[in-house]
Amino acid sequence: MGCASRAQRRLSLLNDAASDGDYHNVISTIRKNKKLYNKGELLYFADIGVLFHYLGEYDSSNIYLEKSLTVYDDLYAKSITNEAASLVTNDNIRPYRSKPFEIIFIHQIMAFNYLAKGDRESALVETRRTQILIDEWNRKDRQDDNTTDDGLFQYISGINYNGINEPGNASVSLYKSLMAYGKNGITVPGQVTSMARNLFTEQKRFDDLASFDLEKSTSVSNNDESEIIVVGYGGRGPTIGESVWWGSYVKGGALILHHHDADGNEATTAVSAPVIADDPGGTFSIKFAMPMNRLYKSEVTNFEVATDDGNIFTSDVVNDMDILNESYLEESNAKNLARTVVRVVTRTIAAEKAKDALATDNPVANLFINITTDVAAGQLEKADTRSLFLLPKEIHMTRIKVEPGSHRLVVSALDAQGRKVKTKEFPNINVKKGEKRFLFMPVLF
Amino acid sequence: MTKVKLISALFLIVLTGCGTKVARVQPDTTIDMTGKWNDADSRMVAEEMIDDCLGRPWIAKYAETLPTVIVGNVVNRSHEHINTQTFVKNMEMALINSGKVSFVASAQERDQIRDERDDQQVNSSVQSAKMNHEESGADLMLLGSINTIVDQEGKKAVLYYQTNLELIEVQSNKKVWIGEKKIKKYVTRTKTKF
Repeated sequence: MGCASRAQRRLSLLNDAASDGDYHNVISTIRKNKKLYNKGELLYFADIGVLFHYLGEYDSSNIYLEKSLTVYDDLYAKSITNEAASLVTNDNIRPYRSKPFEIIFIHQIMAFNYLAKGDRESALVETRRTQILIDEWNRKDRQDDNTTDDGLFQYISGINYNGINEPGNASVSLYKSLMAYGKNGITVPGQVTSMARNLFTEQKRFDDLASFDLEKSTSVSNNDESEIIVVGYGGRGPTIGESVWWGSYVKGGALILHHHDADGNEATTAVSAPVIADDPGGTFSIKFAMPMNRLYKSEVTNFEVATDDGNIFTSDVVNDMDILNESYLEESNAKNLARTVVRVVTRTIAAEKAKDALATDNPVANLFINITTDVAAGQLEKADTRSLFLLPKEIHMTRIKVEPGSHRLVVSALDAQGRKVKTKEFPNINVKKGEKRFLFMPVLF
Repeated sequence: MTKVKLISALFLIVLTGCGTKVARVQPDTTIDMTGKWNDADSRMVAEEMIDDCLGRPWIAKYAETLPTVIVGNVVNRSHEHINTQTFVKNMEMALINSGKVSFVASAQERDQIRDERDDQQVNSSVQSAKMNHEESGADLMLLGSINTIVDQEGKKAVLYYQTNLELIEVQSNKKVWIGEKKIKKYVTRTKTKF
């Protein structure tokens, strides 16, 4: 029986294909290995769509990302057979529905694709579509007091609303952006606080000015100024690994569970033993896997943009996928743990009953039956480690005011020592009066 | 033998029941698949709004000569990717077919025509080449926007589309007509399937 899940095999295969940065090769590999995306059709389309974005093929990117969102929409109807099967086997049986921050990321990339082509109107459609989703998620989670939102997404929306002369809507977006950064534990970028301060002052939102500690700056452009905005994707984003949990189950008692945390230290969690129908009683050991955040080291610390008039600009970090993934796992693991424990305990009880029923007079045969039953039960318990393949670790942004006309930029990704790890020239960037021209540079290692 | 025939017949029935089915329908048939803005909405809104526009008092000013109209941008302020070009074409068709206005090409179409005229100055015969600086200026411009309000809870949603159009005199910037058309849809989705 294969030990690695499909998700792990997919990751391993795509890591090999992506090692030289040839994303066309990765797309080709994905298409040839669609079976590794079984029950993960959303991921299949999203992975290809994101890779096309990194390649600068914005129309192709949007076609695939739109397909991934169609799958997400179709999955709204939960399959009774899939849900029932996952109660007995594991969460990988259920179609992959993605995490909220992944869906927001997909919409963000679609908005970027439209902005790369100068289509601000369509980018704002993505803003509105996403806001409906965010409102629906928050409505469902109201009792849990969870608020789902994304600081970068709201910030970009604010830039776009401001660009079409809707400062009121832009202010609302900037307000939501500040709230989302705070809630998600990501440091608010300087350019966001500057723009928020300018807008709140202009719109006389004095209560909002007082609520946030906004720095005084005049460095951010007004909505009618021409600008080049460079978006840099720095480092390899997180994936999901498995953390092994083990403990002893006592009917009607507490369930003491052990696992190793991200630093490798053993941690202990106590939960009430779940009530299982037909539980014959007794004590037995259980073992299962839970998803955990798997981080990668990045060579990229920030981006530097050199303009044709000799000025150098340094980027701000505007989003951190490691933090978003960690937040999501922390919020969802309580529910995951409860469901997994019930499933594992139920299956263990069933396995014990099966062993009793199959028992013979031959001790060797009995040993074989016991091992086979235990291995089969253990094999069924795999954490859901599925996630988008090539998220960036951090998203950086640099905003540069320019005069209308043609410009040449050189963008460099820098490491912690300030050394350039990758450089790209953008010649002949034509910017019209009042236009916000978006450029993208992925440096995903 | 009878059993074989029965099984074969059942097999054929199953085969013909599976696979894609296509049924041709009239282009003006209304079919709502997802609740989103569709061709029926575009056609209906364009026809009704243009009818309303052409029946208003402003047209009396142009009793002697047909007014020349140009359709400008229709801005999409909704939460869906709507092909506003289809909507613009529906409006242009309704305007021309009314016989009450004359019509000039949009800004994007004019660029192509101007390129053609420039080419003719160089390459066509003097007798056949069309002159520059002889375009008909529009008397009026039609501008608009499509907005949506979505009220959603779980599997139910109310989608409200509002289309606003304005007819503006090019010379004076005066608005001579403002129109509004609303469409409301109630959409439910299944929460379970097998």
